[in-house]
Amino acid sequence: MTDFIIQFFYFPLPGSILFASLISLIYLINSFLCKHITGKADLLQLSLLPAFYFLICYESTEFPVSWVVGVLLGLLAIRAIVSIPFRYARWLSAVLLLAVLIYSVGPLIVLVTLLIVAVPCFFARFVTYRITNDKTILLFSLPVLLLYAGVTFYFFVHSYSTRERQMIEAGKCVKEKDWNGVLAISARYHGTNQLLSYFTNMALYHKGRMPYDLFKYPQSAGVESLYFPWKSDSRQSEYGHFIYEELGYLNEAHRWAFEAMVVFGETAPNLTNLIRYNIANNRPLVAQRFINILKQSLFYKKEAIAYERMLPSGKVPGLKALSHQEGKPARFANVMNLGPELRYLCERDSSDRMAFEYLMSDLLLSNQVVRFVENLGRIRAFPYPALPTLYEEALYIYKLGVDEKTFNSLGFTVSKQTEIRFNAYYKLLKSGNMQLLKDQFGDTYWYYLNFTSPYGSKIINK
Amino acid sequence: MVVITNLLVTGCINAPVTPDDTIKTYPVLSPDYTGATFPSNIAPPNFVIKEDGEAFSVEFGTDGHTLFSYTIDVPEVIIKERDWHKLQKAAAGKTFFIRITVLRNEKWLRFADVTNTMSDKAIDGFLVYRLLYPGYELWNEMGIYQRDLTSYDETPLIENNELEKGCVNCHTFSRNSPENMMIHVRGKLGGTIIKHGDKLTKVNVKGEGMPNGGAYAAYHPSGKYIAFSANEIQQFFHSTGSKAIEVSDLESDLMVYDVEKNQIITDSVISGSHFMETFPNWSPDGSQLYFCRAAAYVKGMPLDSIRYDLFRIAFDQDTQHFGKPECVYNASSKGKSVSFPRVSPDGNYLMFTQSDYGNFSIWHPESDLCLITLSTGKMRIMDEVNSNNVESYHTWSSTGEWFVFSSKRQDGLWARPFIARFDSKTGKAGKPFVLPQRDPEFYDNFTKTFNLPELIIRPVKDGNSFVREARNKPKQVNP
Repeated sequence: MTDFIIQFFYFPLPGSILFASLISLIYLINSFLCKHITGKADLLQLSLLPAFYFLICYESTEFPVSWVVGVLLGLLAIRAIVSIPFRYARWLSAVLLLAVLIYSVGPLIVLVTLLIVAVPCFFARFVTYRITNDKTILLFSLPVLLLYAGVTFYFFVHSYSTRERQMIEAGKCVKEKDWNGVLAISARYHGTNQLLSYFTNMALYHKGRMPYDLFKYPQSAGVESLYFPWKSDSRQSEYGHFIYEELGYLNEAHRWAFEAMVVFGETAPNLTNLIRYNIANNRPLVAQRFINILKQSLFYKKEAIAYERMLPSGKVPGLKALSHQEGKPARFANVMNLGPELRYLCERDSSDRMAFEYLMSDLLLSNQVVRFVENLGRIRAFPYPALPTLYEEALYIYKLGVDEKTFNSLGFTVSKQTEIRFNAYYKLLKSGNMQLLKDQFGDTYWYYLNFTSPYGSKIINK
Repeated sequence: MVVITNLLVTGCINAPVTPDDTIKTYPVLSPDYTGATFPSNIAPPNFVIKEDGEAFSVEFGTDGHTLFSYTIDVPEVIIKERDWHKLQKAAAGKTFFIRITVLRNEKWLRFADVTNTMSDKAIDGFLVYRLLYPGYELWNEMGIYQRDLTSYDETPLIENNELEKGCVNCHTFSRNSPENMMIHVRGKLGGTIIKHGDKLTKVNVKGEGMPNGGAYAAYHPSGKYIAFSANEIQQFFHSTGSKAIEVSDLESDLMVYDVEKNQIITDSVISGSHFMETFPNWSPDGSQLYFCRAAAYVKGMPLDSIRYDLFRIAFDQDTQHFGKPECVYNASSKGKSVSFPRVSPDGNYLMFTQSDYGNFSIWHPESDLCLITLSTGKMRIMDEVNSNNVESYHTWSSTGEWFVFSSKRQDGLWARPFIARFDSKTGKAGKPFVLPQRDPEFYDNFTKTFNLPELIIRPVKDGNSFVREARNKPKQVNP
């Protein structure tokens, strides 16, 4: 039932209307039950409280949908029971329905539902039962309603999380590949968040700004702002696949997507990912199984049929797959560190610009300036107009630590402008005016290395 | 028109049709219930006719006589239990036919008869397996279930939602009997629940100073001992290709747990730093312990160079002493690796899984079932049951006349239990068939994998007692 309800969010507006209706129904049915059972109106409007409570709870995506569905089913069951005119049939059906409810929604939800019904009934029967005059009823109900509305409004605003909304929006933008949207949200976001950094860095790559603007956005998570190291964290499982999909590293993307399905169930997004990866990875029979499940959904059937048509070709638009090298020794993914995987991807395909930029970003973010310089030669495979700013900044740090001959052997030069900028940075650093330093150089690699890097301010050379 | 009208009204009629034409090709059935030998007590093998048609006539019979038939407007053939029992009785020890006629363009077209065999031998009545997503590392919902093979009834033995979402695994029985059995529970309520007769005990099967606890187990036929391997197991993930996961031991040793004395017996001949020993299995008389052995893992060693040979070692139940390890099959010299040795109940054969490397064959598409005749040492690959995908975990029935095994032949990801007849005189198996389900399209939509199928003669009673025991603190083994 919960899954049935959730699928209507395929269309955001009808989904929201449906959900609002469910919450409203809780009030309406409860109010009706109070009148039916006690013969008195719920003058204290206590039937409203569960609906208001759910309204606040469902501001968070964490609160299980099963609660509203379970309570509603419980109320409907009680509604059905009280409608039975014959006493024995009523009791018999009450016992049967209670057993079915406990089995299907769990004893806790059933208990809460009984309380939701019992409380207004109790007050209507024993507290407010003397009030019969219409004017008095109005005078009594109005302040109560205003009080509830005020308190709900307060808690609603108080518990509303702008950050959570922004994260949901950012996730939506990533799925839609709206990279400008991701960067706009990132610019508005106050504070740091690993997931948002992860999305932002993907957007930077797609906008061609990664080697220039990486440090214009918070990177306090270090290399973990590029990917999620595997920590068996079920919460992260639904996000890890994005970067691997973009890199064409579909075995890893599949692993993350599968873990997400294990944790969050056979949801349409999880099934869709698994279908796409299995088609592109030449596992049509596995893809077919997931297609069979997706076909059973209300709104994804057409999508499932479209994927079914892709099965013979093994191709999914917009998805590239790293080919398997038959006869080569087995190679296993490093699930804790993306660095070796990026080097592997660069070695497999020297023209893979995303793998290259991520590798360079990984080395910069991990303070590995020497290894960054060792890998800088790969840049010659790409038509950058000039050495990107951040790469020059890192290269200049390297230059300061080696002799001229060693530096010259690299075949790269650092522009005069970068040297001047570094001198200005250094001067400001020595002056101790940290705010000005941050304002003027907060987006440089030098500042990251000195102040932001979670790995300390030293170059790591190993 | 009459047929169509009948179909419209009832959806099913029972008179066979007269064909307008016949062809010599066989119809495609899903699951593939053709040429198989069915136990005399198995539930009806429902199937889908994978042929185009507007209506379908299916006749079942033996000795040239049709015993019952269905004419249906959908290609799903759901055999009524009453009809199936009639066929089981009439065709016991003989072949039976499935005759399929399809209505196409207002003409009935008959295919060549599909032939199967109905054995007069029954299979053990229950199959125990774990159901879970064939995932990588995380788990959410899983459980161990027992299926009544004579019907489609499946009941949970233990489910992890009652155990704080811990992992339940490695259900092991002594001589296909639920009297002596064990289950591992991992997580907060971790421990090994051992059932010895009527007594249930939760034990932390880990010897003093041993780095790893008991993992893969084999219950001794006497019920007095359980052989365990103690493994350090790690998962690795293939960067590319159809193999997704490699599960490898970095360390493993064998030990024997004395159920009555709550003690661990081990010996340098089955444990130590030179070799990795795993997957123990007892001979039916309990005098020999079979196991897989590979050279110890050294850091940096390529995982695809680890190969296991088949060994056995004598075990004296009274003195609890081991003999000397003896190589039964040197797979590594052939570039192969052995896992899951299982000796047949008569002690004449040993079935194992062979793959290119490692021991976790369920993730190796090349893995095949093999058979050794123990009296001659002759090994053969069981081509009659293998496919071009995974064949892995297997269990003999208590009589040795049947065996069940995991195969991923349907799609390459989900393991399904296949059952095959075994002729102990010839050492040959019949064509396997997938465990019948009420819904013939069950396997097309079911996304859990059947893990460790084990045949048992009676159902395990009171699964709740395992849950209750799991909530207790595990007992430490006596020094």
